[in-house]
Amino acid sequence: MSKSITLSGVLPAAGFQRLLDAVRDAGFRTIGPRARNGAIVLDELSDVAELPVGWNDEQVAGSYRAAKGSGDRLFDYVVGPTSWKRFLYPPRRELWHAQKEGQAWVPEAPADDFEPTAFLGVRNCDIAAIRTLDRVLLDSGYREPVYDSRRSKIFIIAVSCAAPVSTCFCTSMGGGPTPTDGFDLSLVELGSGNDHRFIISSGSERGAEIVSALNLDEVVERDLDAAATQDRTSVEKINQVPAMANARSTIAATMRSDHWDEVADRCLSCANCTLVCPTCFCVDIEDTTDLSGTSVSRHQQWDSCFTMSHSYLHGGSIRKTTAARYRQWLSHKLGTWHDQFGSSGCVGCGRCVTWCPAAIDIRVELEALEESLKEMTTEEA
Amino acid sequence: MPLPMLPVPMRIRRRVKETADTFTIELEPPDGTFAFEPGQFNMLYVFGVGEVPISISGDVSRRDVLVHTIRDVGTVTHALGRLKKGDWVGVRGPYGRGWPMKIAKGRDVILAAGGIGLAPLRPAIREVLDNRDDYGRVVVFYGARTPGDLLYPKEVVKWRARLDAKVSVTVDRADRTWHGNVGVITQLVSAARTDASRTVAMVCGPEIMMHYMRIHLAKLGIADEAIYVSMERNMKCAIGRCGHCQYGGDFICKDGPVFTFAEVESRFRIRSL
Ligand SMILES: Cc1cc2nc3c(=O)[nH]c(=O)nc-3n(C[C@H](O)[C@H](O)[C@H](O)COP(=O)(O)OP(=O)(O)OC[C@H]3O[C@@H](n4cnc5c(N)ncnc54)[C@H](O)[C@@H]3O)c2cc1C
Ligand code: SF4
Ligand code: FES
Repeated sequence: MSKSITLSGVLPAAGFQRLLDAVRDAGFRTIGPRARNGAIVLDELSDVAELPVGWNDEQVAGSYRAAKGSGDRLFDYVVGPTSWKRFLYPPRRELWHAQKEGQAWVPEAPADDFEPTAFLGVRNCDIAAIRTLDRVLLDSGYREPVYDSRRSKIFIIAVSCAAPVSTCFCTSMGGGPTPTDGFDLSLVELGSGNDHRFIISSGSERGAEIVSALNLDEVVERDLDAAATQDRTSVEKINQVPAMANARSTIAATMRSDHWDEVADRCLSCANCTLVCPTCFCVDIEDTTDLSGTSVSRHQQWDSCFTMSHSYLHGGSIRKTTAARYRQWLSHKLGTWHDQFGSSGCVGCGRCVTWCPAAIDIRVELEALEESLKEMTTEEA
Repeated sequence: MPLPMLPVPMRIRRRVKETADTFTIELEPPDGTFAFEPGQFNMLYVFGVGEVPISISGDVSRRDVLVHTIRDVGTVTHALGRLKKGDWVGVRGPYGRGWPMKIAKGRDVILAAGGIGLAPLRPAIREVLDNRDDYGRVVVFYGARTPGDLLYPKEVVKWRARLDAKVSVTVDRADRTWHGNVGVITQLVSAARTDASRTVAMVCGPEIMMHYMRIHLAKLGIADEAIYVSMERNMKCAIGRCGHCQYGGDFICKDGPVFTFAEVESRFRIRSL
């Protein structure tokens, strides 16, 4: 993937089904955005009508609202509570099982039956999140076998964001509304009604191959101008977080700040932020046995540093207080992730902000830490 | 490629009761050989119960047997304690960065263990005593709660009998049979008499013990860069991906468990990290 990006052409929105069919004919099932119980989630689809046609979302700290409007656009909303991590590194997975024969047993790993899958409507922040997970699960010592195999079976169809919300801050994390890399195909949705169309770019050979059969229209000046305007408008709408630039050093210097106790007064320690986060990788591992105790299955499942068991040592947890647990989350995500994997663990998707029942905003907390650092340094001076 | 989370079942060849709550098991590697470095650990799995990190306590030169000394403190260690000769234990490992055996060559060495901390340090002590000529002055400090809690008592007596090493043992609380030192391990430190500038110290015990040991070692003039400690955090994977053993920017399972005090000094001062 991510060789040279080529502008492939323009697909009229009326022909979107042809793209879905071409992807299916190439051997991929498709997972993409779908409206479910008032939220836009990721699930299998095969028909364009299954997309959240005309849906929009509104997201602020602690609140999410998505609803069908009168329009006909396919992607005028941003990320929902699900991330692609759910498919690449599922919430629960068997690692191995074993059957006792007498006293002896031999562990066996199950085969992974993940089919080749097209991810449709991947936002640029989520491409960055997949790259971040790659660094954790593939490039830091050994390759996580199931993630590795699933990663090689996905076909990424990205889409530019035309309707960012208040929780978006990708531009402060090195991203932006338009994907530039890391996809097989990328879409820019333009216009509506009779003028509704998609500029398609390809970022891989197989991407180019799939679109070559679609008889796309030629990209003209008018399309490029519209795409540029849409991108600029989105960039202007996306909140800037200047404090991110120094996040790592701010956090390192404020690990003993009182501010953590202040956040802890509001934080419910519910773990929502880590569960919606597209890069959190912590897992717990546990046994399930049958009644006779002769067969065992060992599973891993998503875990969170907000649980007491995460830091448990016999005698008690290391991070007993909410303050210590919130600090682990924020300082890992924005700080020590750099030490571990050479990048921030945050991509600016804003999910943790939206889905926090207490409306705690990681950006605001970082800014408060920066403030508390200034106070600390003036006191010392 | 072997799957990283798959344990290898090994049979218990021998089981020794060490103290009221501590025991040693000797495992048979299926292909007859298991290589490791002092300070490394394995993940030991009990069928249907769970898996825990346990240091390797045997001799590095004995590859035909895998030795673990375990204190029964909870679910999995208790289940390990109930296993008998001939039973099977799942093993993954060895993992982690161990004691600085190469760096210690040619220098004075202080080895200090508190409680079960002797188990992870024992391969280093043996390595040093078995290759005595490779090192300068050798000092071993060992502290336990009571005389009944002392691990490997016969072996420790042999160490103490050696004229080429200073081996001091202390207990927090003595009984009538005890004729040795009573009190905390740190009180032994001033008698080390090593050349501070060329001393390497390896310290293993509860965090609070390592904290005070470092203060006393610093008083002798030993730099934080030459003091090594073994850290402990919850561990589920031992290969840097379950996230449980994070200690600031390090994963204790793969960046440790052994660190220089200089590496962890700033983190030692952050509570509940
Ligand atoms: C690198 C390393 C080396 C160790 N070496 C030894 C050794 O040689 N001998 C020995 O007796 N003990 C050793 N320990 C401590 C040993 O791992 C714990 O005592 C053991 O995990 C407790 O598990 P449990 O199920 O019996 O206890 P419970 O209290 O029931 O614990 C429940 C779970 O919490 C986790 N947990 C609890 N305590 C610890 C702990 N201290 N460290 C890591 N995870 C923990 C485990 O996943 C455990 O299954 C070592 C720990 C580490 C990190
Ligand atoms: S420690 Fe917390 S913030 Fe870091 S990856 Fe794990 S769950 Fe996420
Ligand atoms: S034990 Fe899982 S990351 Fe270290």
